[in-house]
Amino acid sequence: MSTPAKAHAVAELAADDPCLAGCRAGRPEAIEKLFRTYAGMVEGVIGRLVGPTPDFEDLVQTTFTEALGNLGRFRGEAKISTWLCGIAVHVAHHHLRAGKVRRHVSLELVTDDRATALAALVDPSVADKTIDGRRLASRLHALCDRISPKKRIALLLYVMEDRSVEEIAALMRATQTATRSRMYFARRELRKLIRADAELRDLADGLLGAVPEGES
Amino acid sequence: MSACGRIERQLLDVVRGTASDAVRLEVEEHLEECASCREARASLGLLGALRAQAAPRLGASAERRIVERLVATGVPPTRAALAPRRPARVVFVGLAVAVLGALVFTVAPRALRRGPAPLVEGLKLEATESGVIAFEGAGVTYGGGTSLTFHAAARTIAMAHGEVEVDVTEHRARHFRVTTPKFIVEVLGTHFVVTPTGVRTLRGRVHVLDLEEREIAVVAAGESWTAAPPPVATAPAPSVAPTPVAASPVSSSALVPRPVVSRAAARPSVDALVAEARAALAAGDAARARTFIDRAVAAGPAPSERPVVDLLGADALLVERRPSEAVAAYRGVLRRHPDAPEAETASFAVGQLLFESGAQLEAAAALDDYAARYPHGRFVREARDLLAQIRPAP
Repeated sequence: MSTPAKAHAVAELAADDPCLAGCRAGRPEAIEKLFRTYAGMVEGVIGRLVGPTPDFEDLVQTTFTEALGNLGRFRGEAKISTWLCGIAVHVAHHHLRAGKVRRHVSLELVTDDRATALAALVDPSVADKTIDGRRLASRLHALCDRISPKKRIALLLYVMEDRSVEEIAALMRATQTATRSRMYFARRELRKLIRADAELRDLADGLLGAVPEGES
Repeated sequence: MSACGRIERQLLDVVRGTASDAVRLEVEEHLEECASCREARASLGLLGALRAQAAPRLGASAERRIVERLVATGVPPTRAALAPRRPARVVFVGLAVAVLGALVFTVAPRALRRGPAPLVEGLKLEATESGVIAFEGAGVTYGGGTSLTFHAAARTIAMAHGEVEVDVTEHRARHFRVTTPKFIVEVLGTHFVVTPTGVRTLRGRVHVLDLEEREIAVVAAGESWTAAPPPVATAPAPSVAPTPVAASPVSSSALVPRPVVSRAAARPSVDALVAEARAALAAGDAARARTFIDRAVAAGPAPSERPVVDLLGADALLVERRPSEAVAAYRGVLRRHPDAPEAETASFAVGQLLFESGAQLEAAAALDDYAARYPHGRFVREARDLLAQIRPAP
C-alpha cells in the first residue's frame, strides 16, 4: 500500500530566502509571496482543526499577522512551514478555547458570488448540492466542539493532517504521553458523541459497509 | 477480543492510510469478530470521510483581501521590539480607544456591528430537501418540506410548516425569534428545535410565547414543550348559528392557560444532562458541569447510567483542580462499578493523577493494578510509559 502524500506537504522557502528579509522590511511583494506560498497549508490546518465557520478568513489572517509580527524571532531552526503550522495550531486552539464557535455554513464562504449564494438559498436543490460536503464537516465539527480543544486538536492533527505523535507533541508543546492520552480521550469521546447522534451514527454505519478500509 | 486496545490504536493508522498491509489485515480480521471495534471503526470512518474531502480553502477574493490587509498593516513590531511607552502616549491611545469605542457603540449603524449584510428581507424558502443556512448569527438547519420566511431586521424566522433546528450565537441586546402559526419561540443564545407542535431545547433555554406574546413556558436544555391540542369541539346547540371557523389551525386561546402546557415531556433525560455536563467540562466550566451532574443524580439514573455520572463527578473535581479529591472519586467509581467500562478509565486516571502529583510509589501501585486488571486495556501503553518513568530500566 502506498503512503498517501502528506496533507501538509508544501513548497518550502529556504530559511535565508530574501523573501523573509523583505517581509521583515514590510515590502508588499515579499509579504504577498510568503502568503501565497503558505496560504494553502495554513488554510488546511485551520480549516481542518476548527471546521466550517464564518471566522475562517479572520483566523487565517490572524495566523499571518502573528507570523509577520514574530518573524524577527524566527531563527531558521525549523522549516518555515513547521513554524507557521505551530502558529496556526495556536490560533486555532485559542479560538476554540475562547468559547462558542460559530458553527454554521456561511453562504458567504460557500461561494464568492453573492447572486449564486442567494440562488442557493432560494433553490434548495442548489443549496443542498453546494453544502452537502460541508454539512458533514459542520455536524462532525459541532460534535468535536464538545471535546476539549487540546484533545480535539491532537486527534485531528494525527488523522487529518498526517502528523506524527512527536510532531503533534512539539506543535502543542506537550509530552508525547500527554499527546497520546489526549488522542485516546478524544477518540473515545467522539465515539460516544457519534453514538448519541442518530444521523451521524447511520452515516458512519453506512460508510463502514461501503468502504471496508483505508478510505484516503 | 483481547487485542481491542491495540486494534483501536491501529484503527487511526488504517483511517489515515498509513497502516501496513499486515496491520490492515489484522484489523479487518479483528473487526469481523468484534462489534465494539467495528463501532469504533465506524466513528473514525467519519473522520476518514472528512479527510477524503479537499482541504478547506478560502476563495480567491478572500485571499486577496487578506493580502491587502497584511500589506496595509505592514509588519507589526514584536513585543520585544516595542519601545518603552511614554505615559502621555498611553493616555492619548487610551482616550482614542475610548472615543472610538463610544462611536462604535452609539453612532455606528447596527449593521456594522452585526458583521455580514443581512439576507434579503422577507426572503421565502420552500425547502423540498433538508439543508443548512446562516442567518443573523444563527445556524439554521431545516428539514424537507419546511417553509420559512426570513426577517433579518426583526431577527425572526417565520415557519409556516416543517421543522427547523436553530443554533443561535448569543447577542445580549437582541432576541432571536422563530414564529409558528401556534406559538412563538424567543431566545438569546441557545440551540433548539422547533416543529409546528412544540419546541425541544438542546442547549440554554428558550421562552415560548403565545401569539399575543405572553410567556407560556420556559424550556431548559434537555426539555421539550408541546403545544396543547385544540380543545375538542362540542356540538353546538342546533338552534345556535354555527361559529365561523378560525383561519388559523388552532386559536391562540388554546395555548394560554399554563396548566394546559404539557410539562410531562419536560423532564430532562439523564443522557441529555450528561451531555450538558460533558460539554461544560470540555469548556472548563466545572461549576456548570456540577449543576448538570447534580440534576442527573436527582433524576435517578438507571444502573447502566450511574457509572458515567459518577465518572463525570470525578472529572469535575479534576477540572476544579482538586486532584486528591478527584483521585478519591475515581477510586469510588472503581469500587462501586468495577465491571463498568468507566472503571477502566477511572483506574488509569488514579495512576496518572498520582504520578502527576509526585506520589510515585502510589502511582506505580495504581498503574500496576491497572495493568493487572486490564492487561489489554486501552491505556496499557500509556501506563507502561508512566511506569517506565517511575522505574527506569537498569
